[in-house]
Amino acid sequence: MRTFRKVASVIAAVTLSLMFAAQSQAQTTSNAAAVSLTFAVASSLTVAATPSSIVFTRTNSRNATASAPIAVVTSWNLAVGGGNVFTVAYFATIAAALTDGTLNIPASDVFASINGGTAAACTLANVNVAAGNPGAICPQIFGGIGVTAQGSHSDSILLSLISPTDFPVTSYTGTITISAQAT
Amino acid sequence: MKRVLSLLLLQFSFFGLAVSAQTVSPIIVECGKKCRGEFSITNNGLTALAVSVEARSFSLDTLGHATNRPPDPGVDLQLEEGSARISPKDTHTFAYQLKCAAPPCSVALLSSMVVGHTTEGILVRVQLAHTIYACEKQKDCRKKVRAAAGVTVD
Repeated sequence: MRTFRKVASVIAAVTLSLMFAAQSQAQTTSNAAAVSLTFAVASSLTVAATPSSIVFTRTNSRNATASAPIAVVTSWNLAVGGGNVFTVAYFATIAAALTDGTLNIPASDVFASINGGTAAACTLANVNVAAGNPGAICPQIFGGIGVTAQGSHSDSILLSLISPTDFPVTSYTGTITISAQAT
Repeated sequence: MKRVLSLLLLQFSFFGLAVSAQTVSPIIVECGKKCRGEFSITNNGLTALAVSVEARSFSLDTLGHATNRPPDPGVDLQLEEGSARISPKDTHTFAYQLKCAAPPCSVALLSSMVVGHTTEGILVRVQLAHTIYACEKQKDCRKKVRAAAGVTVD
């Protein structure tokens, strides 16, 4: 009888130990794997100008209008709000906004209407924006002061030519610069 | 012959209608007396672009408008590349090194680009500025320059 009790106790002890072993296996958990995520967005400034070239149609011997207005969209994504964004148009040469190499149309004969406003000659000395050629700057296209961090502004600039004398017969070419800067 | 002329006309029409859209990033950086930096120009259009970069010093008025001028004598700006050709939908990075002998120096790097060409009329050129403020110490350089200029906005 004693022997039976001893054997039963041993069997019970072994069984219990096996049960605990099984329980401890069930509690095993894996290590937590950390995956770091980074996403850096740099500030940016975009200008879209359409079309990329325009031609002029003569309405009389001293006047001409552009084939289409230039649509200018200025978009920005700044680090913080409250900054300034400016867009301006200008010609590189005061005396020859358009030229055939010999005959010139000065910037004073080029008029710009911004967003349907009154046309004014591209002769501004300084509109304090971006790069400019003093004396050949058109009226400001966009002046955003204290802008929000992200934004976009659409404008149009319609050019026309008005000369005090008849345009000499030839083909003129030129380049207008749409310049944008954030400060 | 008529077919060739039609194709040429169509080609010029598409050049004329092409959207000239470009992006500069980052827009504004601050640095100390000596700094190395870079900025990227992205060609968002469908035509390759020739880009040229030039440096300008600038001053601010009380509203934060910039007036650009040729680089000041104390500004030594070295561009690794002064120009590049950027494929459609591609981005090009321009690296530079700026030494400012008499801080603060306010410098704009102007990237200019045109799409296509024209034999008559006006070509539209887009120009974007990457603005650098260099001071004795980098921290709050832009803020100090703007405060010195009397800028009340921001």
